[in-house]
Amino acid sequence: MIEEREDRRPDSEPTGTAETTGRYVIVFSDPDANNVRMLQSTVGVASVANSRDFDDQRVDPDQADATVFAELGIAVTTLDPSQLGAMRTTSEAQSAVASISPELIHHPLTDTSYVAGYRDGAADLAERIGAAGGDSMGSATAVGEVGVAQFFDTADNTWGLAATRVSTSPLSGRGIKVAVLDTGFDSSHPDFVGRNITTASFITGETPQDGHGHGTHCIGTACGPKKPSGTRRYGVAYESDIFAGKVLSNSGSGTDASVLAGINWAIGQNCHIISMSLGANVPQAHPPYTAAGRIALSKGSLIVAAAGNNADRAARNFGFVGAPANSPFILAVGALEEDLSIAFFSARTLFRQGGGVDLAAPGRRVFSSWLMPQRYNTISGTSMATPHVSGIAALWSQSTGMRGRELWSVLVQESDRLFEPSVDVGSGLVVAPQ
Amino acid sequence: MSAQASSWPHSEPGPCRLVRMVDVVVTVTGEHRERIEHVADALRAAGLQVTHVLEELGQVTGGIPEDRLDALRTVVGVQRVDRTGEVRIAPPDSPVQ
Repeated sequence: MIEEREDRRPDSEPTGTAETTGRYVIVFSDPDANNVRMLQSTVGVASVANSRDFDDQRVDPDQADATVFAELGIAVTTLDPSQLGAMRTTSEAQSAVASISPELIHHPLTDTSYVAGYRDGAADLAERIGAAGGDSMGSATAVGEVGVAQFFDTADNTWGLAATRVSTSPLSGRGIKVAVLDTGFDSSHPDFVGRNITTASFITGETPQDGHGHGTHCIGTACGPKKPSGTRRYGVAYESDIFAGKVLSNSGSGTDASVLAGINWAIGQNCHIISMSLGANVPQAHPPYTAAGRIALSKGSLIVAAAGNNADRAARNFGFVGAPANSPFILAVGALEEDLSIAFFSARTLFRQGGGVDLAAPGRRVFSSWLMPQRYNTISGTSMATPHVSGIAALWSQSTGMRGRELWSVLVQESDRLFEPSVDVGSGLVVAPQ
Repeated sequence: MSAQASSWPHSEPGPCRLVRMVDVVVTVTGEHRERIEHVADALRAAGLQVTHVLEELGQVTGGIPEDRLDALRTVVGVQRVDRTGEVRIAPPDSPVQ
């Protein structure tokens, strides 16, 4: 199937007229097929140069009618009307070619109006991040008016699942193991009947049963059911295998030792994702977490951790990412409000290696499971944003087969860019595969 | 898995003396990860009250009298020794967690 690329930008985007050469750039379906012969015999191009016939593949693309860049599986060629017709109509060409596009002319970017735009953008950013005394609460959003909530809980989904496009994703996290290291899990919760759940406690004298609520809430967001009885969907990876590790006591405290023991267990269980909505307000990476993160990634486990809630942005305190999220090799998550602006409590990047916020996710007024008999609760925090990323990472792992560092790359590449500084949201809003 | 609690304060036999116990995590060198149990035994001999041997991570956690910390660092197979601290979350009725 040949796809002819058109300018698909929405109307609100600036448009320009592209200069073209009159030639075409062809992307072949299979770089290793005999595309040279296809161009000659099916399309009727007279002279075809193959880059592999040249020393170091240094081919001049202006010599022959068509030049095939063999390593890329791409060719640049002239096509007269009958040759273009052959491209579009013969079945051989249709199956051999993935796309045809006009060849564009490029120029160095020396337009001076760009510089004025940069100045205006820098001034706007300075105001946004509070450097010039601006109000950092009213931020522009990707779509829609400033400060107006765009997403809200409906009868079917929480706002967070709609914003991250989990609600329209066909994936379930089936076959993916998600570990949530927290206050444990309320195993009596009716929404999780029939799920594969493995539990362990690393708190002396306490069972994996959640006596706080935080762990059950985070597991709900990451792994909750597709159709909970009597309420809206609040969970992402509804067919994932759940590993609930209790590393925080029922009163909400733990130690590095209990957290590391939980990470060790989750890696031993071959968990794809390890979700940690916890931390300490220390403004430097703690070396044991850096060591653990590196090993986890090398063994195919992606550790996702909360950036921290130590900001008070209304008072111009932007906070900083604490441990363990501030370690290199651990993915740090910031929290967003319903209008996709940064949440007032969400910690800003710590300016040291590894201390960056990597992604942002819904973290304000998040509805999810809680201890029985209360059953549900709505709370805010980077703790709530983190399991959105963890659950969505499970969907991407299922979809692409990727783990560890590759999975981290996919999450970041596929995120929606936001009109917020990267020091607060990293590469932007995490979104689910569609 | 359950953890052994370290005692504090800890009194030594002989002249009466109170020594502070500190919680640490020992990271083992790459080459020694395969034989982490041997390293753990050596750490115990050096005074570490081991709470966890973490095979996947190549780390050993435990408690030790503060004045024996430096000796711990000289045990064969030890890459580094870091003090461990507390992590915590807000109470359950807190709106921000």
